[in-house]
Amino acid sequence: MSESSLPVAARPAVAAPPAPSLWNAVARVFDLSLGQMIWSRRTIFMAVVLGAPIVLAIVVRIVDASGVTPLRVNGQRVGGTTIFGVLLWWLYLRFVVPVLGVFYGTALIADEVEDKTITYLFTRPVARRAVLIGKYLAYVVCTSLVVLPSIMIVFFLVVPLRDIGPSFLTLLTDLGLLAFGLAVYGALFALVGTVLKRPLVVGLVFAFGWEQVAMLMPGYLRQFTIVYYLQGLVPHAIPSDGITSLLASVFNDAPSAATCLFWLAFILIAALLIAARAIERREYVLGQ
Amino acid sequence: MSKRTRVFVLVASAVLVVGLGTAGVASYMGVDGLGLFAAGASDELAYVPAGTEVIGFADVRQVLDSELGTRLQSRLIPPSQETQDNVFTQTGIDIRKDVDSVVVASLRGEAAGEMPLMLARGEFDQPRIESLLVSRGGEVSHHQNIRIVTLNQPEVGIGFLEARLVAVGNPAAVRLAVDTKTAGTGSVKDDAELMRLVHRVDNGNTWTVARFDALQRRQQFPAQLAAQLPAITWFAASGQIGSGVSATLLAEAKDDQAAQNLREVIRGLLALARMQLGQQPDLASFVNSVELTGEGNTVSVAFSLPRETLDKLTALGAQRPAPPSGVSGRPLAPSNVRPRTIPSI
Repeated sequence: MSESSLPVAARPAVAAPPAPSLWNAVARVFDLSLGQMIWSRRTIFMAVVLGAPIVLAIVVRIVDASGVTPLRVNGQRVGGTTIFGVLLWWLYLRFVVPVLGVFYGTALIADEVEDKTITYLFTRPVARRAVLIGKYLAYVVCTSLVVLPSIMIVFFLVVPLRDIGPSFLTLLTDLGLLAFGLAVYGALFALVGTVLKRPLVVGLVFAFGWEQVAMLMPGYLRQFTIVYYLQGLVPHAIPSDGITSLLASVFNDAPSAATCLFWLAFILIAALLIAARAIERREYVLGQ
Repeated sequence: MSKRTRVFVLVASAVLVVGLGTAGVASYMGVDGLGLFAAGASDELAYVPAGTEVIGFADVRQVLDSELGTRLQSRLIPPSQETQDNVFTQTGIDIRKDVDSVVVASLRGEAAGEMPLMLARGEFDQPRIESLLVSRGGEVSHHQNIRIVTLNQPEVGIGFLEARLVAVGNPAAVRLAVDTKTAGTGSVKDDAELMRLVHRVDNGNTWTVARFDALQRRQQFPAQLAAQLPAITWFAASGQIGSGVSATLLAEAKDDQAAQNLREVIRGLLALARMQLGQQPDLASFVNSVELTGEGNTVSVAFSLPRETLDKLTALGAQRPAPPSGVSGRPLAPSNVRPRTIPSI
């Protein structure tokens, strides 16, 4: 009599495959999530957001090539390097990075809850925190792979050829800074998405309400924002003269680079640890 | 990971890597290292000995063929070159017809002489030039297998370095240029500091790099102005001459503070110019086109002079009254002219 013809209860028990280690599980979730993120509807939104600076850079290049000064401040001509700095600090750092952080970060867990698919992830033999970490890493890679090439294209469009070499170190700093910004915002909003019910609203209020207001308020309130520490790294990365001094003057009371790096790293690690702890303990009740 | 995801990751990574690689190579080797610009003066620099104080380059053909060059040719190069102090008259080289580009270097030491070393690239009729020089008392000699013709009065030598390249200048300087090229080392190409600046300005059809103290010694700057300028170590300039002129002036100061002071000086001068030229839109637009930038110990001023502004400046120059004359009709001696005063900065 073959085993298959036996009643189920009589069949010998088959040993379940061993659960993968934490980092193996992270790698699997990362692999699955990266593709989902890149080809999600959010990518269209991200393409629009990141296409705007590229279109702007193309316009600047065409205007400049036609012999017309693309930008003037107080009647003074603003060069390509400075325009790149302005685009980077004001468009990318103040808008693109927080927006992507909010939309992607809050969705890491909240989307699975909303779509009622989180059950499928949690019933797998992997640690819950592996799901969070894998999705978070996929977010960092996905957004970095879209944002950083976009910056690179804008850089080559706007910065004059002769300034490309001298601007190399600044470019490296810029790319690192933006990648770090994406990671920190993503970690914070991943936490928000893990513990709160309406994470998107909360994220938008934080990024475009609280951070904007706090930065304008005198006193210590700005220390409770991420942008304060990100902008704190700006004066260390941009030239401090010429038109760019206008930018630098905005960041006059910036803390030291070490302080900024410390607090940004602290926010990133703390947010991820709290989110991992929360996801391990929380019972997600999926509504009808 | 699906195939299309992998393709996306690869393409995005490639954009990043190629971009960073290009910028990195440009940073390490200079933009010409990427082959984005013509070699320009690269070959000629191998003849210029290290320690050169001032070096300049002009793409004569491009400048003369440009719209502005065509218009100003008669002023840049008088039709009559038949003056005894014109080195080209002495050597029989017609700069308008024969020369494509020229590198001019002011040397230091014994080879310096009164005349800079000029390395001209173009089409030269060697037999005609030689016979002309010999008819004027020139002597033909060989140095490192290079044929050099030397005139004693004025003291000038011309060496036929390559098929389309001649060196003109003090005979000792011409021989030194030959020695430098033959040795393969000891040229300005080995002078990292000078070449760093050359790479920053060699994108124009004219450029120059100079040690600032050399310019001061040669009184290229008014003494009063030079005394009030912060400590500058290097000066470089790049110009693109076409229908108009766009130029970049670059100065390297002794330290960051000196550079900051220089930027303040230039800002003040620009503000003063803007105030003075408020009623003249054409000239005001020129002042507004001036872009002052800088980082660390460098100060950079870029500006462009479009054709219309140049016309305006030319017209203003023509309207300027003639200098006062003495009773004999000759211009007043310099001692009688009230010296120009430079406002205290």
